[in-house]
Amino acid sequence: MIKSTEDRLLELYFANLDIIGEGFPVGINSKRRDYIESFNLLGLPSRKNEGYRRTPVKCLFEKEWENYFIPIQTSNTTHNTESCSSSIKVTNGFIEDEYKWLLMDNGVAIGSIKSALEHMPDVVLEHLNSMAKSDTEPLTALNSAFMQDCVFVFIPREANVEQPICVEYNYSAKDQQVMSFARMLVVAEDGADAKISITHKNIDGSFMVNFVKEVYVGEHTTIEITEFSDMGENSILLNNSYSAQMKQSKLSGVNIWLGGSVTRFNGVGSFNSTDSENRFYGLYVSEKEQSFDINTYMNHTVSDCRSFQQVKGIAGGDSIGAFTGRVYVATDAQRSDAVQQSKNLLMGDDARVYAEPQLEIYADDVKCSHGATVGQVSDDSIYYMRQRGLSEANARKLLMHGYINDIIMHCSIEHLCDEIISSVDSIVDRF
Amino acid sequence: MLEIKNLHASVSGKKILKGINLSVNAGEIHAIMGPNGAGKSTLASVLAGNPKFDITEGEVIFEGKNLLEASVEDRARAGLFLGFQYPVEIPGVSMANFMKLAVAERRKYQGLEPLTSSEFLKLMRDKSKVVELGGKLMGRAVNEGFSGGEKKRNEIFQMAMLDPKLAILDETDSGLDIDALRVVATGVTKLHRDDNATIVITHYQRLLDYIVPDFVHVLYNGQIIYTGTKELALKLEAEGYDWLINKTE
Repeated sequence: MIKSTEDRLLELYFANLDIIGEGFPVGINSKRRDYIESFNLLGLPSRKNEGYRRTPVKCLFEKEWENYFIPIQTSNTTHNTESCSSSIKVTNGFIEDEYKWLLMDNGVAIGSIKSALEHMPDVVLEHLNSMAKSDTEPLTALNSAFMQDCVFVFIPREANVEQPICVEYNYSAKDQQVMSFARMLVVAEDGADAKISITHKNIDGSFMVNFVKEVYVGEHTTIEITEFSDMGENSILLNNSYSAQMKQSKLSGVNIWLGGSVTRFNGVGSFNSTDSENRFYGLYVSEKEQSFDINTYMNHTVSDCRSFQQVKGIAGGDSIGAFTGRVYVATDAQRSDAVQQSKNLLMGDDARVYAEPQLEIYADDVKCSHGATVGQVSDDSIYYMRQRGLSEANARKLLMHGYINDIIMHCSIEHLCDEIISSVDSIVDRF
Repeated sequence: MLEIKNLHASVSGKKILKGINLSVNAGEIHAIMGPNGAGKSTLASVLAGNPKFDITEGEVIFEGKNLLEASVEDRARAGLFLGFQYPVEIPGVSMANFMKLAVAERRKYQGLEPLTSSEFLKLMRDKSKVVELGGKLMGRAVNEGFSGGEKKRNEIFQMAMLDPKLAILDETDSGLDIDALRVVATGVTKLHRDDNATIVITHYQRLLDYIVPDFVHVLYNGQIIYTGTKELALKLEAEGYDWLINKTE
């Protein structure tokens, strides 16, 4: 009998149970059984599952991905720590030895979850897996079961961190095809204010990265996260991001997705208490046969919260860009204010864009709007710019630059913004 | 400077211009008036090179060269400026960036060295005074969120930056209140010199209170049916176009 992909993953899990759970307390390891059981029940989603129509995850897992349960690194990777208040380097999901635990003077801590479990077990146990939806999301359940290492970022009460905290995920495996379960947990306590930079870079090798990120934002806390992924040609990034916000907090995320053959982003934001704000800016630029499938779920379960989502995309070549956004407003979430916009530029004759902004509202005193556009570069704008002396090619480039800038301008981490701009520009120049 | 001979143009098969003849010399200001649908804006678009229009007959010589063979951008670089009736909004592109590229292209054509950053900023500052445009607009995206008046002032600001040989202003006065009209018109007058020329397309005589034309042409049904001096504009304002149209027909 041919084994199903799920069975192979389950076998892989049970065969390596000891090494996966090594160094973790019983409290965490005992829950893995629930996660793998949940994965077993849910199964890998295929095109038949509504939320996965654009990314048939099951097919992606069918490929023979190697799974290493001990850290490997086949190429040296650079690490840019300039202008970071603290930084951490992660290779193929494992935190490198020299970054196991860094404690700053202001109390900010960054390191591996295993070190964190020694230094502040209560904080870790309170928040790890508290936001990630392992009971309903099979990819998240799979990560939670297989998690061997996890970046832990702790910003203590009232800490004000001006320079960004930088987290670099590098994926390197020469010519191998490797599966990686990278993970991250951010805990920002009440009154904290910080910026976090996250990068996912594929140095070499092909990767199937199933990443989970949890961000807890305490009361009166302001957190800005810029996350930039630039994967290699044959790599897949499945990014499952969760956040929970407490009273009067602000969470702002700038997400730039480039490269890879398949990128799926699944972002779930929850307001746990009133009067909070969530801003989400996203940009994908696709070319060749790449596919970007961006999904957001904004959960207004309590009253008086504001959410703003703007996702833009440029689809060139034969690529696919998709946005599915859902704003959920519960009966009690009165005076919610939600905006959701998806704007897409079609640059390739065979490129496809799907945009599905959705509102699900049960409260009666709310202000919600959503919209989606799919179009091409405006001829009138090109003509206007040419009339001022710009060549057609330059006018087009400047227009696209402007289009992209709408999102990138929200990135406040200078060195990362520069890097993003040059990466995006080099793709746009090819259109 | 500009010589238009028997110019015919059409848009999607429909004839709009039916034999325009016009010559403009350096130092002159020409006003083109006429009823709606006469072809005024088409003339401006055709001269600028808008690809929507087909030239079916005639020729246009600008500064000794065949204008109709040049691309939109080459016409602009050679010093032909069109002030748009409906300036286009370009989100995400700052005025400063846009103008930096435009000025660089114009200077390259003129064989001038590119401006240094500080020279460019000084130029921006100086020229924004021509139309009393606040510095804060410069940092904003091109025309995005500008009021109607600001957009039109911005057109004249760009004209000042690019220092064209020939400026064609297509209904720059439409949608302007009295104060904005004065600012725009005074700006145009300030920019006028002996070595450049301006064609003002307008519906109303009131713009010509500020911009005093040497010639007023009446465009009707794709042709210039009458040419007079600035007094003609006053007569048109008082009596309309009918007496002229009846005379021609």
